[in-house]
Amino acid sequence: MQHISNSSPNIKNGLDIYKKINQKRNTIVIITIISILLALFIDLAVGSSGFTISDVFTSLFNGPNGDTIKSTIIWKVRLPMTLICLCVGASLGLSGTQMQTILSNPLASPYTLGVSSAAGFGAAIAFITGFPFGGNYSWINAPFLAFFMTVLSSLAIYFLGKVKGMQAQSMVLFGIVIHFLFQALLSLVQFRSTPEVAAQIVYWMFGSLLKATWTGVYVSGAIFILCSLLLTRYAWKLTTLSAGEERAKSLGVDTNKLRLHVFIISALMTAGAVAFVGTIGFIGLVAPHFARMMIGEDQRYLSPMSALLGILLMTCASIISKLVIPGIIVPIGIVTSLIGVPFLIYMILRRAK
Amino acid sequence: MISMELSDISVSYQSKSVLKSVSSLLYGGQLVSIIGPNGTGKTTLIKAIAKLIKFKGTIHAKNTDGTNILTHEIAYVPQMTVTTTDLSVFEMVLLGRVKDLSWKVEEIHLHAVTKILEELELIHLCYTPFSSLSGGQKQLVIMAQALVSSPKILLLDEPTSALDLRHQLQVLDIAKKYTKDTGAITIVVIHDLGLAARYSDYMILLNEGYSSKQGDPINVLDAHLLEKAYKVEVDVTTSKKGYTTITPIKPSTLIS
Repeated sequence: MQHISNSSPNIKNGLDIYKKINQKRNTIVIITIISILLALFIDLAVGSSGFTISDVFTSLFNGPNGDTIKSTIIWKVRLPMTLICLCVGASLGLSGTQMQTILSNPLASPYTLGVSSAAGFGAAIAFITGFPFGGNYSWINAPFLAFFMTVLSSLAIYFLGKVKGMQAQSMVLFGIVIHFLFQALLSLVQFRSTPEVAAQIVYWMFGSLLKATWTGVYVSGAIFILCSLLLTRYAWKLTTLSAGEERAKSLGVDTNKLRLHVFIISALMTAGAVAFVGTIGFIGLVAPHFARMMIGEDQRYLSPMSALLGILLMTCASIISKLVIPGIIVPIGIVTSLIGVPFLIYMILRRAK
Repeated sequence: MISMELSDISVSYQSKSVLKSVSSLLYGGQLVSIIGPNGTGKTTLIKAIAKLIKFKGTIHAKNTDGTNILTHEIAYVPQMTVTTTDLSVFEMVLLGRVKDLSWKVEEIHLHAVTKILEELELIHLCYTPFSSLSGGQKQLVIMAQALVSSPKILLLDEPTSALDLRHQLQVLDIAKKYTKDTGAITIVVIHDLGLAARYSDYMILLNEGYSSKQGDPINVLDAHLLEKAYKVEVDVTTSKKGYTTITPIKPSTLIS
């Protein structure tokens, strides 16, 4: 439309409107980042050995080869735990948002779609069989099979969804089916295993940061960075999809192709997250809802904000998990679920109003 | 000149045939209205043109140079938009340019959005969440979104159904101006036969899924044809100011 798209007596006006829309969002993002930095430092300081903030700074600056006990604790124990918290929170927050967007369902998340229970089943198989690695590398078995099963369950949802033309509703239902399937398989494995192995499986299913290693940080961090970079190219299409399937289609967005690509990326991100720390519920469900409430539907803001809120929630849960019972670190999966429930009820009631 | 040839378009939902072998040849610069009673396949026809549903038959839409018109160059404005999106009106209209948007939005797109919002007198709503608008306002915003995408084919499904008299004329004036200025084809599904007569260059009357008559509005708006399609006795007159007026008298079933 020539008379619309050409020169511009009102360019300043359009820019002003757009800047005003985004001004509040930028402020919220900055405040969230500052809160995260604060929470990360508190998380590093909190634990069975009492650390001050200056102890944390000194130990960090001393580097991994620092000769004090505090440096060793920070670099070998606490920093991997805090950083995996960051990677997992970001991955679950971002993948939750993408699953909710592509499936047009506020209840969609890595947990509700069965991806997490598949990971649990993978880990259980590893504990029982000791497959595939032996000796010094046996610790990789659980993350390896958890990752493998997560990808496998995602592929199952994908292929079943493809039969129904990648329709959002069908994919959600297939996700629920997969969730129940892997839950049943997991129960079967637990039923047939020795008490020791059953305890191992239950502990894994709790979701715990004590499993954190530098390898886990590198792998899940690298997967998150790669996937989030890939997602940037879909930002506008995803925003359009959030305005409705028919609108997106009529604006030329190939919604089925978009759903397919984004689902694969989200599943990969989830696999990278849960493989190293076990099942962690609610982050992938709660973080996207809060992000949407605070920042709106523009995916250029919503995606980073969901990742940031995922990190903040995970870090806060990690701090609580260390403080709630002195001297004991409660598995973080329990804490995220316990703090996630009231948040979710609040959001449902708010939406109902 | 842009052209679009519809050949034997048929659509069935489950086993029910909704649209039966509809054919037509339309040209750029034409505002085409589709009229007919409820349930005769009007919306189905424009959804088929928008490639939003599966259909039998062929649609060849060509640019002046003979190249094909692409799907994203066809804009569809539904009668009602159901969405819970939190996007503001400004952002919603901006999505009309989704194919051209990069991470940093270029000023030309922001300007285009502002301009169309001003034209449709929606600029005061630019910060308002789309989901909180009334039905009529939503329809206008989606119309703005469609226009900002500069479509070669513009499809409007009952664009005046939720609007007051002033906005009905405003929307059809803008659609007509857009059609003439850009040489696009605009297809409007409309129930108000008076407005259809006033704005259309070409008219298609659908009845029970068939195209029962098409051509110049003056030929399609024939009292006998309308009575047969709508099962209502009608009076077709011309007002003092030269506008065609269709007055329903009584349902035909009561006559018999």
